[in-house]
Amino acid sequence: MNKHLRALCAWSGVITLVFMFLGMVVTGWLPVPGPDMTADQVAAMYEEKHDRIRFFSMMNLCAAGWSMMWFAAISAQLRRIESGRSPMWTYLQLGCGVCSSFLFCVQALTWTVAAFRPDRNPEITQAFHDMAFIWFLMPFVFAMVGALAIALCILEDKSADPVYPRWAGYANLYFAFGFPMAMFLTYAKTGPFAWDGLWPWWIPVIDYTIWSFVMSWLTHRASNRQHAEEGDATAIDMAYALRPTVSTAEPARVRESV
Amino acid sequence: MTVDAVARPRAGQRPGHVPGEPGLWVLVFGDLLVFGVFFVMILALRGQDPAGFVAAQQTLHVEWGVLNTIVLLTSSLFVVLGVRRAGERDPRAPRLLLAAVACGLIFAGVKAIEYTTLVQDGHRPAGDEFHAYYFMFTGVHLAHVLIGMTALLFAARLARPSFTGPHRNGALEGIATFWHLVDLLWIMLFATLYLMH
Repeated sequence: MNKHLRALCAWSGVITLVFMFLGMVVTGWLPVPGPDMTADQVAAMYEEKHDRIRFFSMMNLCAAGWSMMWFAAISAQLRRIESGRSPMWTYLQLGCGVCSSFLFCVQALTWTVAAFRPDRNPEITQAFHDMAFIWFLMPFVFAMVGALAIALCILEDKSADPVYPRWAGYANLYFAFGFPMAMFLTYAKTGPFAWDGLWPWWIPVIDYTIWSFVMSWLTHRASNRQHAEEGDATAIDMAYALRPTVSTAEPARVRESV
Repeated sequence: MTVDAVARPRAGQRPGHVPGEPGLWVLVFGDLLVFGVFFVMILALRGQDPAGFVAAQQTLHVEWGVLNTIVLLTSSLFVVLGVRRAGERDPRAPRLLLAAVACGLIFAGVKAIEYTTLVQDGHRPAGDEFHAYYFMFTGVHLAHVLIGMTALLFAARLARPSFTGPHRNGALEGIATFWHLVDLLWIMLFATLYLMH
């Protein structure tokens, strides 16, 4: 695979954040509106901003696409760690990645429904508004289990030249502990436990941002080293399958034969 | 990390020895940072309304908190002794680590009793902010205890004298470090939630 495309996939975690950030800034949802708004206030907000909220929904869908590339880039590196054995952590991380990406779509469509008919009964709009924000912030479990899978896979990497540094494994364990803070939003409508407060919003969002940057950077670095080892081989499977027969694995030749 | 570094007394350790492995401390300091933010927030909450804070604090059962502090400190002692004996390849090492797991179970049991009594008294996570903090952070800490107990079960296996492997001592030290973190976090929680007037 082309080196630059690999780099793009690795950094698409950060690109995901750029799309989300752009959408939120355009909508004026930074900081996010809190859960203590009445139905009429919510309806008035949707009346005023429905076009911007529709734009934000589309940005969410773009973010979903980019995040899939990012999770796939990480899975590709995890599978290198697990090459030659059962790739359980890779599958687990990929599955969590797919679910996380899909969540961007779910919240996008829920916001779209809320903004679709601004003249309807305010309570219906409020229900969809609540639902969209809860979809957005509460399903921490996919990010958590995904980070846990990455952590355990990295910590199991006993090779002399590990794909990811070991501290990254422990950092992912920290993120896996940090993301569940978001579930507290279920209990509160005001204060630090509300969905616009410190624990469900700021801490998980800052953690997710750091996670995206750190894992994008490390995945880029790992895929560069993979590139140096394998060249532009389009089929790593082929290179791997040929390894027992080709002595000292000459990657350049494998590439030509593909 | 030198082999059998845990077995040696402090003076004999290689200068600059990091318990477990350096990367582990990313997790330790990350956790301490989050709990540090909690500490600042709970101080701010007390600053807003000292009388209300103390009134809410009175609803907690400090005797259960004291018991749990003693239980966790004892478990840390078991872990220290267990890891040291494991380094000496003493056959009693796994039993000491299992004793620490038993302490963890007692801790979780006491916490369950505390939660039940509080809820029966009408204090819920969705109530006032003090109880929200109490349930959330003791809950997060309890999750740490459960993860730590799982790690200690693994450590009890590693601590068998017959166990061989290059990462034995590093892993034992790492798990012990995590358990001491769990202990430290509880002491922070106990001081701020139960005692700070």
